[in-house]
Amino acid sequence: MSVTIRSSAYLVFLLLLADRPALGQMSNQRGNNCLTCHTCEVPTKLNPCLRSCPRSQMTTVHHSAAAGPDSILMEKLTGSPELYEPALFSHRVHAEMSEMSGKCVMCHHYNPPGKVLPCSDCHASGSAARTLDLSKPGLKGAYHRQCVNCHRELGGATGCESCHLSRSRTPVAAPAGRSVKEAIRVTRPKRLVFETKANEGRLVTFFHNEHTDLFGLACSDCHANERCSRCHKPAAASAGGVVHLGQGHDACSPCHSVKENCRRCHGEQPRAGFSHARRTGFDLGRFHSLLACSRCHGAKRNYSGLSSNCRSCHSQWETGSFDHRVTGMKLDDTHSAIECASCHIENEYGRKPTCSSCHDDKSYPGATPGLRVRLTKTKRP
Amino acid sequence: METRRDFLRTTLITTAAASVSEAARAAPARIPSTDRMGILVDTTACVGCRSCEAACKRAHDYPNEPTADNSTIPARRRPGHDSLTVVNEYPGPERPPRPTYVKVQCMHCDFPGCESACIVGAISKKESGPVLWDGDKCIGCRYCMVACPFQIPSFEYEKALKPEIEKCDFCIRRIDDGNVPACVEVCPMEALAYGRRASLIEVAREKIRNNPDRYNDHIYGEFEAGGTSWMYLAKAEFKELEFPELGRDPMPGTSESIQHGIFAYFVPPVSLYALLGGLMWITKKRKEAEEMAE
Repeated sequence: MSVTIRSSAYLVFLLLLADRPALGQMSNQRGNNCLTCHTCEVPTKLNPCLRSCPRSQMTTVHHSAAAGPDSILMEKLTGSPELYEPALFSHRVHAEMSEMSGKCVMCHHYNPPGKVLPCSDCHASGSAARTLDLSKPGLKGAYHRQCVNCHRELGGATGCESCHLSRSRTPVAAPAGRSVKEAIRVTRPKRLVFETKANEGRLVTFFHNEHTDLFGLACSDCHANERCSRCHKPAAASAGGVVHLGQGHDACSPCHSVKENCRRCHGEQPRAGFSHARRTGFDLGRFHSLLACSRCHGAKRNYSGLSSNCRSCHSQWETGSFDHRVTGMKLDDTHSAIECASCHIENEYGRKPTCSSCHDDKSYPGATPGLRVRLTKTKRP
Repeated sequence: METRRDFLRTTLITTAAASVSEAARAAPARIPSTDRMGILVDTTACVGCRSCEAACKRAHDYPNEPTADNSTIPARRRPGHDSLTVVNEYPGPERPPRPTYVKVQCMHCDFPGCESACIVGAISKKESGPVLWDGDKCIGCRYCMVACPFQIPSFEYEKALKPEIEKCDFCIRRIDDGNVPACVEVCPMEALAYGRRASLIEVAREKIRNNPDRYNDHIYGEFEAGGTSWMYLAKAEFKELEFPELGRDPMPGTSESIQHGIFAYFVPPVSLYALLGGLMWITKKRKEAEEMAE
């Protein structure tokens, strides 16, 4: 009797099973089906073929642009009409630009901690495979949606052959079709003069080059959460090629106090840029200009004047043991015999002596200094 | 394959049978298979590359045309005997413009008006979804063209001998070989998804639920004209994209009630002939009476 019950139960179970759609097609209310988490059609206990659970909040990819590959050949597509050559994607450039926008997640919209997943982990290749899982685009769709949607918005070339060569057509210049802009030349503005509505101090001069070069700011420090289309737009250079951060003080206020001392920025005339030599009397020269400001002035933003005496920073420099080569000028035997203060008048080492302060008006390296016209003031003791 | 002679034979037999028994007329309403296939078109993903047009022509051995870029997309086209599908552009309100592209082809209705209107049974709805035209049966009456709410079937007017009715055949040969339709396969954006109609509706609902800003809450073709195999998702109202506004009732419902009403039980034709016969008889009698009087 029990055998009959059991077998009929099996029968009912099998009937129920037979009536159901294929595994990949069943989905619950959240749109998850077996293939959301399993990579195979029939997961077993021994081989559950789990993929990391795709949740958008699990995106943890925040690598530097340099950590990623320079370029990627998109050759994983193996659809039956192979109409085009694989496209070469300039990953580095896109990654660098994305620093100013939505960062890596703009494309890597799902990634659990660890290695960066290739698109093909979730997006199946081939149209037949896609028919099994209709909830998300296949690999071809995933690739094209990532690329075309942005490129379309940015008004760039969106024709098929702007990314890959047609197989049916004999390539006219194959290498040219493969060339990838490995490094985009971004022209950074040097000096911008803004006209404001202020009654007094109408003009604000902004030195872009100082902010990027001198203060060592990265593009993304100011240009964060930009839309790609702010710069890459169909009508390029609509604002003279300059991408403005915004109106009013918002662009400056994160670093500069805008409550007091308006004259620091606002003036009636365009201003000259910051010059360490003019402002402080200490020429940074070849070596000091390479240093970040904070190296000498400390991390505090309000930089106070420092002594121009070398030893205020280079405390280990002693008369007698000092190797003059670190200054970039090797003293020959004649010069090393001369008292320091003979050239560095009044022991003022901040100001660089010139050949012509002792010799005639010829100067090194343009010309070999000629006769000594001025005698040294003091003799070495 | 049936020939025209077979058709005439079956027609005669069924007409004879119908006049004898009423049971033959009371055929049950056909219920479409739950596993029938369909295609979901996501117009928000389409970029108007018209690869589908080219692929369709390749698959059906039509003279091919080079894929044109978006700028040369003509203002408005209809599928015709030279192309079974076309992509049209509809400018959107966005600035900069982001036009919507709509692929037009036979919708493969669940209850096709063309099938119902065809007097020789040349158009048939397959259980798996496609609506197919059979050239061996067609007599070229073009009733199907009138009956189609989407104005899809087109006639080769310029062919004097054996002109054909042309419309999308759902790439039935490719499907029979285990492939997907050519347009679905080629679409670079995968704006077209081929699958079980029921699953496609689930996917479409999910998309609308997850992206309410991206989609208008309407799956065109889910219920239109009793449901179609091809279904569409769009951001704009379908009215703006020149989709016909159709009710939920299948097309054959209206046309067949008129058509069948006229011929129901052969009562109207028989009574018409009876009336005419009666009139003739009366006139004849009157004439005879007049002649007799003379």
